[in-house]
Amino acid sequence: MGWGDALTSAWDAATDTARAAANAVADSARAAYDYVANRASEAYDAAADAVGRAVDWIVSGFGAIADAFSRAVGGDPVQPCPRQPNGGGGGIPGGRRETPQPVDDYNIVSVDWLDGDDVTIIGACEQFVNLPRDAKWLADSGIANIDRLSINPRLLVKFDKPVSAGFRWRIVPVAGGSPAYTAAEEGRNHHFKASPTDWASGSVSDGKTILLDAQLVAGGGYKFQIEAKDDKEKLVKSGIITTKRLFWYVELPMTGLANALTSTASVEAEFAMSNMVLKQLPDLAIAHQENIGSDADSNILAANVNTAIAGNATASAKAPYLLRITYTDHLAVKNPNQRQRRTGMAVGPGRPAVAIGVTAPSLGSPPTVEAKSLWNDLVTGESWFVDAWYTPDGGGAAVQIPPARVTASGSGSDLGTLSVDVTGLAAGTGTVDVFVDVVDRMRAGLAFGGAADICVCTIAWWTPQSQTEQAGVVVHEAGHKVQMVVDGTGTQPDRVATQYDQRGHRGSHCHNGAPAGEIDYDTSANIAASNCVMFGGTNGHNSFCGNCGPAVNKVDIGSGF
Amino acid sequence: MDIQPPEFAHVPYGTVTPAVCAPKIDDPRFSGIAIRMPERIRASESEKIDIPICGYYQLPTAPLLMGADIHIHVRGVGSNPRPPISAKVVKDTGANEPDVPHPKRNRPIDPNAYKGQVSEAYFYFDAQRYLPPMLPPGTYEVCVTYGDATSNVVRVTIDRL
Repeated sequence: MGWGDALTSAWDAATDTARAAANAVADSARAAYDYVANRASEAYDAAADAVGRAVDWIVSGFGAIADAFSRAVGGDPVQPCPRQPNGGGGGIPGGRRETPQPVDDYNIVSVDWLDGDDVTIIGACEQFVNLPRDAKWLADSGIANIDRLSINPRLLVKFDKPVSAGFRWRIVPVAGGSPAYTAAEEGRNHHFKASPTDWASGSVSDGKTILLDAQLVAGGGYKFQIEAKDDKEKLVKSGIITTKRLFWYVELPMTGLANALTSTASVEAEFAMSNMVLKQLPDLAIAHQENIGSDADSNILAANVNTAIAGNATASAKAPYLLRITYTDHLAVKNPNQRQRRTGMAVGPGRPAVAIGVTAPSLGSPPTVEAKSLWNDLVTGESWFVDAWYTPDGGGAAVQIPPARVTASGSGSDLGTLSVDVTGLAAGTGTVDVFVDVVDRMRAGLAFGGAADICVCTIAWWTPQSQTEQAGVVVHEAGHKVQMVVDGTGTQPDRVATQYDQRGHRGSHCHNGAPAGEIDYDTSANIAASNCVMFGGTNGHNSFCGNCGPAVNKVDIGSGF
Repeated sequence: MDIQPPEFAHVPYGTVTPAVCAPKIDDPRFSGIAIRMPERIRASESEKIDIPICGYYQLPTAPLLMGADIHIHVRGVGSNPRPPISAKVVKDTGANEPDVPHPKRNRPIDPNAYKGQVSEAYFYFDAQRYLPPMLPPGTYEVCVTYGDATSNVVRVTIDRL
């Protein structure tokens, strides 16, 4: 292998390390060409080992070195270079060669976020970090191009000359963004840590390159900038990028509903404060169900929703980033066949009616006894009455009491006192039992586990729910769908300071405003004191509190619903 | 976790209807609280355990409507006696759903309106859910109160292997 071949081979095998070494050699060439020439052999050794793998941006300098090699090998002694007074590189005596161009006469000029293709750049911008980089997510989003999708935005680094060169770069948080993730959070979820925050190496060829491996964070409202600098420490910065999240929602009001929420503007505004953009799709009607109270009811609802979504290409294309909001009349839970017993009752002709206040143990734990409303006027064809009996004291067969003899006074939620006409019974004393269906509870909303569905009632306790109340329920249930209230497990952010689990309510909620450490938050005092929409019961508040709002900013919803 | 007798291995927590572990009450005029618990619960050192309580009450309605709560009371006995622990049983099961309070939730209760009425229910608690730390190995006596009514006392032994 001749010198030329050796140089070419070494050249082709250039590495970043060699480039750095070559830079040093090039510096020497510029500063003292004659010195380089006299050290041609050593320089070649280095070139063959490392410098020899140098890159094309030192073509002129390395070419001169190669010439020097040739002369040295061919017996053409290199003449000492007469230094110029300023110490700059000298020319070849006799004008046989031109002074090599300074090999690092190039500069990094920019680092920018790409915006739609490989050349268009954008300064300050928003990045929708939860959505994958796929053109399918642009439809109905208002997002301009796929470069604004994903947690890994592309970057363009440019130099002022079409050279191959190295540079360093890093991602830097910018003041004014959402509160930083804690070390524990970063350890729990790698999407909670931007990278690289330490200087990383990069290189351009032909004066530019596209970086693909910058990572933002999963949360919203975080601001970052890219810093890049060349070997001369010239620093350039990108525009500020702000993280956002976006998901779609579709409302599926049941046909014939008169009181469903008409505007979700307040819901969108609430989530926007936590850097979540909600995009509404056109409504899809589903079949009417007067009440969602049992698993069977929920299954019917889920089937109806699935059918409606499947029949709509726009909506079905949005999964898993589609929240499905249904509205129904009631979300009442029936406690069936509850015995109402009154003992020691005198019965028979002329005896007054037996009054019984309707009570029942609460379903679930604990089964404490409460006054209840009868299951009345909730589902067409369903009556509260089940059965009624009289059992005489001192023995004797129980006697069935005709349904017409049992009536209830009041209406709606007041329908909770029975009157049993006992005048048709034989005179005596005994026990009256009436078996009735009662309302165990009325739910304001439901977030179905494992699905993207929430359901909002438009009537509770026979009273229409206001628009504000329904909007608050949507925020609450949608909050559950975005992992609220986080408890610091799994890939979640740290536990919200006022998070509580169960303690009088079902699921994970926030007691902000009420005292910490309560055993039971389902008390009138705690309901009144609470100030967060994520409290476990309806409390008239429609906004995330100062503890939950930042957590909504932090959650990772990249997997959708 | 090994639990004896085996009918306590699958307790329907949060329900209010009869189950195989529940006490058998044959007297319709029974008044009080009856509970049953496993005799022995055996588990490895760090294994989470259930401490099931299966019970039934039939009590006068009026006092129960006056804000009565249900508590579980536990005390260590035998060679390693421990001071009693009491824990209020609160809602802790079921789907995640905000309830709309009954509009008459805070109305005063007239106990006379419920005179002569009695209320009944079966109940199934995991005592471990309400007791602050995991109970260490030992033998314990347990009872349940609802308002002023007190259940029978049962004894359970927890073994850690």
